[in-house]
Amino acid sequence: MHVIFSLLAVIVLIAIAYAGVAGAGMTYLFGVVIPYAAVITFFLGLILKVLKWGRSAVPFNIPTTCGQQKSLPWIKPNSVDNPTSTGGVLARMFFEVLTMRSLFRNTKLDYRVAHGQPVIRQGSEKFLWLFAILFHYSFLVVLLWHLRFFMEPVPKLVGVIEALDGFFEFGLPQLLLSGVILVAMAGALLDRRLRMPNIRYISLTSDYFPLFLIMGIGITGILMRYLLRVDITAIKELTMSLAVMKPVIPQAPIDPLFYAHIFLVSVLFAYFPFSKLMHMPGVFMSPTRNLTTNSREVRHVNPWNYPVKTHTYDEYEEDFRDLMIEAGLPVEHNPAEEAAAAEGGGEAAEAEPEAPEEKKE
Amino acid sequence: MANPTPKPEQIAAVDHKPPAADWMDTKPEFKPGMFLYAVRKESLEGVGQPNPRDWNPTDADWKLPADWKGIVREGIKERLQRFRSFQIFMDICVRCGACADKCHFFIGSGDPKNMPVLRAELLRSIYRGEFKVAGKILGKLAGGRKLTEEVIKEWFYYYFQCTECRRCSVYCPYGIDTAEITIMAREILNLLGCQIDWVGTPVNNCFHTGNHLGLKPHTYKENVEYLLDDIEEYSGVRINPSFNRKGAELLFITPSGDVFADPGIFTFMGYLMLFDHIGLDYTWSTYASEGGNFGFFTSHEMMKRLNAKMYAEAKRLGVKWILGGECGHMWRVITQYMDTMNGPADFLEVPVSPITGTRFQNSASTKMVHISEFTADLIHNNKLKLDPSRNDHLRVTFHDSCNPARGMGMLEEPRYILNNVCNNFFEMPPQTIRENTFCCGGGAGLNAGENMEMRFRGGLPRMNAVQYVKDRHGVNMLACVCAVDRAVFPAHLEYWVPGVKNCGVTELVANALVMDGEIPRQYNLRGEEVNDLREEVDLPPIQWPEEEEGGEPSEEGGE
Amino acid sequence: MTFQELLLKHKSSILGDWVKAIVETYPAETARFLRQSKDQFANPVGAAIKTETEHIFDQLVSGGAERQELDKFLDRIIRIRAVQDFTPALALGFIYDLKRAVRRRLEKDLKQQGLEEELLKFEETVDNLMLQGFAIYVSCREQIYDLKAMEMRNLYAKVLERSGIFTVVPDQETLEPLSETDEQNKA
Repeated sequence: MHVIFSLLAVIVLIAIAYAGVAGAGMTYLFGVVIPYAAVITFFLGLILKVLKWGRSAVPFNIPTTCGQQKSLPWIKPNSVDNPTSTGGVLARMFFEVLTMRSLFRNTKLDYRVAHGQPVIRQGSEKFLWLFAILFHYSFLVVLLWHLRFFMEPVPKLVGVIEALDGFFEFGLPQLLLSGVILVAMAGALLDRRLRMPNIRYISLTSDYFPLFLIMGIGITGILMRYLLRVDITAIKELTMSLAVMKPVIPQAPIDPLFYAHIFLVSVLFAYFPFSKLMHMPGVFMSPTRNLTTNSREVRHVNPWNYPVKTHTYDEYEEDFRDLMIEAGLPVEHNPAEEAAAAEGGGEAAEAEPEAPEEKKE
Repeated sequence: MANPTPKPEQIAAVDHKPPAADWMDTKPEFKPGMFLYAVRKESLEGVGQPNPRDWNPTDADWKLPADWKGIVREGIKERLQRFRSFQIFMDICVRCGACADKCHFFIGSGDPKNMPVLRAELLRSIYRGEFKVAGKILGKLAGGRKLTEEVIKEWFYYYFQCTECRRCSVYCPYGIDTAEITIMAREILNLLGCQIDWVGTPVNNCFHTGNHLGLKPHTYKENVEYLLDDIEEYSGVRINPSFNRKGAELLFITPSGDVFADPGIFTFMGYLMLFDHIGLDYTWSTYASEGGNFGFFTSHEMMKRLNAKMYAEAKRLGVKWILGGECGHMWRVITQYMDTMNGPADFLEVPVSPITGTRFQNSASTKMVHISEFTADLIHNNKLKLDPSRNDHLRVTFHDSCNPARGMGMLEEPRYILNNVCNNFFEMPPQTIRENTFCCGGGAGLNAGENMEMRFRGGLPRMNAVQYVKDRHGVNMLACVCAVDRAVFPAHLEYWVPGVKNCGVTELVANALVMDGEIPRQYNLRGEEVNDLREEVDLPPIQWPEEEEGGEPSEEGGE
Repeated sequence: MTFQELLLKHKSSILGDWVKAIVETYPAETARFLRQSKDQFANPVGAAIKTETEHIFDQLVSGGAERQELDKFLDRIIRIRAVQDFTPALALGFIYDLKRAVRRRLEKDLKQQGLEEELLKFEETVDNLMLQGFAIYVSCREQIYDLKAMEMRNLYAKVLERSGIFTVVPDQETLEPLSETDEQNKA
């Protein structure tokens, strides 16, 4: 149900764009209004969500420690996986975000029996990591070279990325690897979700939908570039006009496929702040990763720390005083001694041990 | 297992075809051996927790409070604002499945709802269904579902089947920590009075008497005295520790389980001998006699209420700093919560070892040092007279307890100690130790008696790794630094890996300690004859001095 | 071709069927994990099923099957299933699955070569295997109850003893978690 619904949703989205543009000629709606609305939703939604997260307190210092702590000077601490300094946290986050380190940790030991002898090999289950990292980086590259549609002159960096991306110098227009990898990896991630029963079991519509959506975006993009050879000048005219906030629908007709493409992108942008795609900003705010582990050395403050009812020593002694005296345990108040002292002289009571002062705040 | 034996055709009918329903439609079945008993009424009343009543998880009616739905909604909402961890972990999971096969309960039970991601979804689906527009309108399609009593029962079953060990959070690309989600779910369950007895009753006992069995002060002291007798019998040294003594330099706090339960008592004897050996000026407290904190398995508030005793007692007794014994979750609480909740402990001093002069800068604010850090420092500075050959009959491996490993990072200190007090130390496979360590299966209050089968499943991955080093290296002793481990492992080892015993690190230290005025150590702290143990592993017997040979442990061997 | 040779020839397919049948007693989401994950530490249940079924098969085929060896192999699987969510029948049913697997793979060949008699004998061996498994299963369950009692005793006995409530000191023998017979059974 989750899969079919998601796939249908994306197909319907494409159909809407086609019908809207080719049928009803609503190029302005699909080329200008919706993209603007989507971008606004994206930024507003993102900011509001991150602000909401930010308003939520971090009462305790709860990093997951994945390496040796800093304790005795002659024991080498692991300053990245158990970071006691801000630098360490930055390094941890750097590896976490840019190399997906925790996912990479998904190693396993390969154990087999060969010729009657157990053989242990350091194998790994890195496919998830590989798919994920290729997926994200190709996405980034695709995003970056799309900047050429929104900037004039095209920044040097974009040119360099494009050159690298088209490294294989294959096809005309030159094949850009990133788009192909993006679609392939989305496919691989989808395949994994469908084929592994336990992953399929946990998957929701909101897991399939973004995958289909991104595949839809990728495929429409690839079709435009390599098969339909859409009018690139007209498109750039439109995108540039959007970028400089003076939207114009160009005179030259643009293939409806382009509108489908941009519509799907708009949906992705608008959907982003309300979905699991928020893991992008979320990873930076995860308290098990972005805090220093020096909470024994430097006190972490809880903004809503409130006083609680405790069982004080006085109450405890009150409950067990006789038993304690009998067992020879020292007590704060010994009625027998106090009585004897009172008889011995009035000021003896003054000499009593100072009253227990530990009252809860 | 009280189910009637199915007839062959019934077997054929159910065999091999597990229900293929969506997880939201499958409900847990409360079978004996798999679930935990409900908390007794008095225990909730004793600490003023809501909805005390007599009930049982197998009842149809759990007697929830009238407005239970409102309480749950309000409870979730409040926690979303108070804990960024909770808010973010509710929002950002992409269900990549990296955590799926990392949970010891999933590995051992094969129950898909024990996959960490799904354990979290049990709560996340309610969050979506009750708080998110899409979830409210689209329901299942948006991964949301409605709050029903069945959901509460499911939470009770599965959130008391998580040991808060954090292994999944190591592999999560966003650091989502199921322990954090379990903690929130348990807090919410506690708002409804749905607690397990093995957490709720120890909480009440700890609150009133200071230890989880509810031992009164004199009994606590008597128990320690019996251990002193044993120490004298086996080592010839009489030790006289102090209790509740004002003006001691240090206060020592350890889990109370070690005072009376096998094999924790041997670790406890180890502490007594170690401190005597170095002439430490310290005291025990009967008021703060519990290092373990079952409040941590109840709610943040209860954790704070119980933990407050440590600082309060240190202040009352006027000690300089606190030394803490071997315990798992106690050290998670001390490392990541105590100072924040009950600090600042500005009435204490930055810990400095009175024996070596080492300043423990890493605990400059909590003012509390772990016994393994303390002992490792002693050994490093040659302050202990050790004869590791006394442990030669042992082939030792070390189990990293979840909390010291993943909530603290204390990995090398116990290993350094072990390598100095015994000659045969072997590591388990790398993906089962250190930050990858497998839980004992009994943490977070799950080491009750009634759920033994469930525990055995949870303990399987750990035991499997022990079996491996037993087969490969002849390991016969599993050392650890956690009292829950010591409570749980004996039964686990007996079932999964018979022939391997379990001990605390300090027990091995004490066995290797050359005490002043000791008699020949023919017996270990367990009262076992060392030569018998040596014979079991084909080591030549030790020739004891004439006068002691063949004798019973001498009654008069005092001086 | 003798019956034994036939078994050996089809070993991998028979074992494949058998493992599949066992693994499918778990939920589908779990079954895949049990089958696929090769790591004996990350997947002890799957590893035990895979290795021990092969050991059992080899023992049975070797002709001179040793009871003690079989016990050891069976124990590794049954010990796990005895604590999982299975009825006793489901926990042990996997032993009969071997019959099914053998029949399915060999039926044709056996008919052609007139070796049905041999199949009956083999199935009798599997029946005996079931009885062996039954004994193991029961001893596992008994052990669980034993251990439950032991744990309670360890928890409270010392306290009661020391507080004078418990005056009779149980001797070391009875404090041992296992009775003599259990020890022998496991050996």
